[in-house]
Amino acid sequence: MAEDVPASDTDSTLDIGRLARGLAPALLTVAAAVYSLMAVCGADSATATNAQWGTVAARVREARTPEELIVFAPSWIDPVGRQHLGDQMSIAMAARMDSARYAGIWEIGLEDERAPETRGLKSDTSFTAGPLTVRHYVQTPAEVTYDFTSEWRAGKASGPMQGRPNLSFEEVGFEPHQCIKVVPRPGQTAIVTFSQIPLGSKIVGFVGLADIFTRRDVREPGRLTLLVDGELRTTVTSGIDSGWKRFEAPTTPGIHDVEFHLTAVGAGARDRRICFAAEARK
Amino acid sequence: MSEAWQNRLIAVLLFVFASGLVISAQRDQGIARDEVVYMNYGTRYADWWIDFATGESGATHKDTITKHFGGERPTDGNREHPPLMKTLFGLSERLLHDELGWTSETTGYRVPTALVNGLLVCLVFLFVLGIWGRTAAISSALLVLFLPRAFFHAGLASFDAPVVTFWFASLFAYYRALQSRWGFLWLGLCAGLTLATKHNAIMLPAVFLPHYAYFVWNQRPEKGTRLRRLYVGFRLARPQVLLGLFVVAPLVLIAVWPWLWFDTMTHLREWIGFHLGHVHYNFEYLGTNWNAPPFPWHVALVTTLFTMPLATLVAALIGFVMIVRRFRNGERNEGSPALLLFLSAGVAMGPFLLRTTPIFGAEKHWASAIPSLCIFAGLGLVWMADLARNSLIVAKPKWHRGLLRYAPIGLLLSTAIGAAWSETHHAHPYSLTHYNALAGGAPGGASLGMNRQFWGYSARGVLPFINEFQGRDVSVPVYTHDASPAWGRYRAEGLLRDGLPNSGHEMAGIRKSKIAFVVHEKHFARHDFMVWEAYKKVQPSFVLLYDGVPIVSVYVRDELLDK
Repeated sequence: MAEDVPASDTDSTLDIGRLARGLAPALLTVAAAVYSLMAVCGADSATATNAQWGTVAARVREARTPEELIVFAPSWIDPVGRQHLGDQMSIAMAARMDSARYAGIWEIGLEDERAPETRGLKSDTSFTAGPLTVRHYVQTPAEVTYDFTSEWRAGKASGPMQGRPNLSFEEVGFEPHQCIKVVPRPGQTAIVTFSQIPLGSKIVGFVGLADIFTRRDVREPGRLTLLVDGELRTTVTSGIDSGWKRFEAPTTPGIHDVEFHLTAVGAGARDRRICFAAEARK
Repeated sequence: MSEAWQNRLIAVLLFVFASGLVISAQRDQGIARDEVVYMNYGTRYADWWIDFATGESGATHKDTITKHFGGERPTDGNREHPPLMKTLFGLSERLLHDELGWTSETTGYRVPTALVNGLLVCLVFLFVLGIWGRTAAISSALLVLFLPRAFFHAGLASFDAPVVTFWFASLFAYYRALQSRWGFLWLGLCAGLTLATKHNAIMLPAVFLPHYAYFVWNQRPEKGTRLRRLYVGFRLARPQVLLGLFVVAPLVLIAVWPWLWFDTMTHLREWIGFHLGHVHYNFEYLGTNWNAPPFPWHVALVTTLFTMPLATLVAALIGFVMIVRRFRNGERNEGSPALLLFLSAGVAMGPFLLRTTPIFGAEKHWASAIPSLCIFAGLGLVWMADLARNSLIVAKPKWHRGLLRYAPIGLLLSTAIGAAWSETHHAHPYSLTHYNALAGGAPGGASLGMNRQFWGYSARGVLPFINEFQGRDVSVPVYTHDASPAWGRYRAEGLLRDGLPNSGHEMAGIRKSKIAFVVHEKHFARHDFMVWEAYKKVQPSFVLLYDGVPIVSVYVRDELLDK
């Protein structure tokens, strides 16, 4: 340790700059310690209690109509949100393609957190319970002329693939999704054809690679190509980190043939589980 | 009492306090997945050593050793990990639980880690004491003890805390070996025990060789040819240190690992080869699930930034800056201990900057850097207090001398160590979910997309809820997810009631189950979805939270809820 500086040897004129420089590191450390202590002491008050969740659940249950979507923000509070409101949520709702079909959305957020589903929307009702903020949103729901996913049995499969296409409940990008799963042979393309489909002004869909372990072990992407009446409308490539990737293509209203071409890109693309969901919308 | 005896007493007290605290606290910790493996093999290894010590015939036969320590496949006999700690786990359990009945089975296995961690606290005190004085030594030692993540690992029957101790003991022994003729034997022993604890130890030469080169350079005489000066410098720098590191240490490793008593080179090659080709497990970092290289270069730095107590971190940074400034001002310590500590931290973290080293264990993988950081912090606190005191004396010469002498150091130590203690206490027993105030605590860590936990140990927190369902049916099978290896141990410990068997793995196990729980990690999300599909609902009946962050969800079939 450094020796004391004898008072008699020092200049008694106060040098603020020197004093500040001498104290600054210690004060910074003490401030960090105090901040840290405050964070620990305040940890409980920053989280919602069971009673606050109970209040939220009761009020949402009372006001919500069965067709309305429930979302949580940030996404990591989803399990505790489902604990309190999961009885109001179906698997189909949790595994939805997107939120466009819902006319009403209930968002339960921690502090000011917002869910991606409500981006750009204005809430018409809101209330708080502790750190939880509940907001209700109304949007014009997408009108679906044909749901390829729920009508998956109508699709005719061709091309080299493992098994047959089927409706599957899968983890895609760490999210739950109900989708049509197709596993083309490595480097090959499988085709799912829907004939004489009533289309609106666009086809909206999502595609991704299912199963974390095959995504880890097989790094090659999958590709979806959409054709309407044999004409290329869009191509979307989904890599191992792409998650649930949106695609959209304009269509002419009327009856048309729609083909989804699914390709396991590359000779090493074994067990490439390509999952997609799509809707024809007005 | 003389100063030397006072210091010895402090060292002993620190050891007893640190070990006792961890032994007491670990009773609340869940059983980690890998622990179960180490416990089982620990018992097997201990049996062999007891046979060996009692002269049991055939104990040293190749087949007997293979049966206990090895086998054909790379993980047979858990031979991918050296045996020192496993052997101690087994012997400890045999003594403390089986023979004396003083502890539960699990505590019996875990005591060696706690004691070895206590030894680390004690060694840090002694190392710093000899160079920078008692206040810095006590501060550094307590800061090493009060680290949420390290404290957690110190309570497990695994290798992550012990390897830090033996790594640091090697540092200490090397430092002493530079000053004594026979010190190289201690170095060999410590480095050998580090090798016998975990494979990280193979990086130790990367700490010592640059430091030794610097030491040789500083020992060289001023006169003579360059070659002659270097030769003399080398002779003066106690070259037997290299003997300790490269001859004695491997001999110690071989001595404590019977699997190396035959086909030594083949078995060594297989051991190291296993880790060089280790599978990349899934691990969430900054919102992305990583399971293949290239990993972000900053994983070790950012994770350390978010998991060490904030005041310790700030003090360490300031301490490091002060060390550099003092070095530039010509202040030197014999044997360059600060350089040694810096190299130790750099080598411990270095591989994780390469972007190819697996990151699935986060901070535990580079935990050998911790003593260096805490010593920098301890030094920083003392030097900051000195600086503050001297500035106050100059500015306020009439203030009371006693106040000026003790107030800055008292305030700094009490707040910094107090904050570190409070974080460690708060984080327990779910420390792997804990993040510091810089990250915004556990909720901040979750929002940043930092890893929630690993090893499934937090399942222990849902056992009281699950126990409530005992007897609602003849049998209530439970899907135990990542806690399946620990299920039997929970029952043996009396934490789990009878009639709640493990239902099996993956979807088949979920379908058979009446209760299912999911330990939350990003890549485990699919287990939630499988349960939804099997149970036809998305609503968990219970969610275990740490500071509001979900760590385990428990689903119960409706028919069981209705009973």
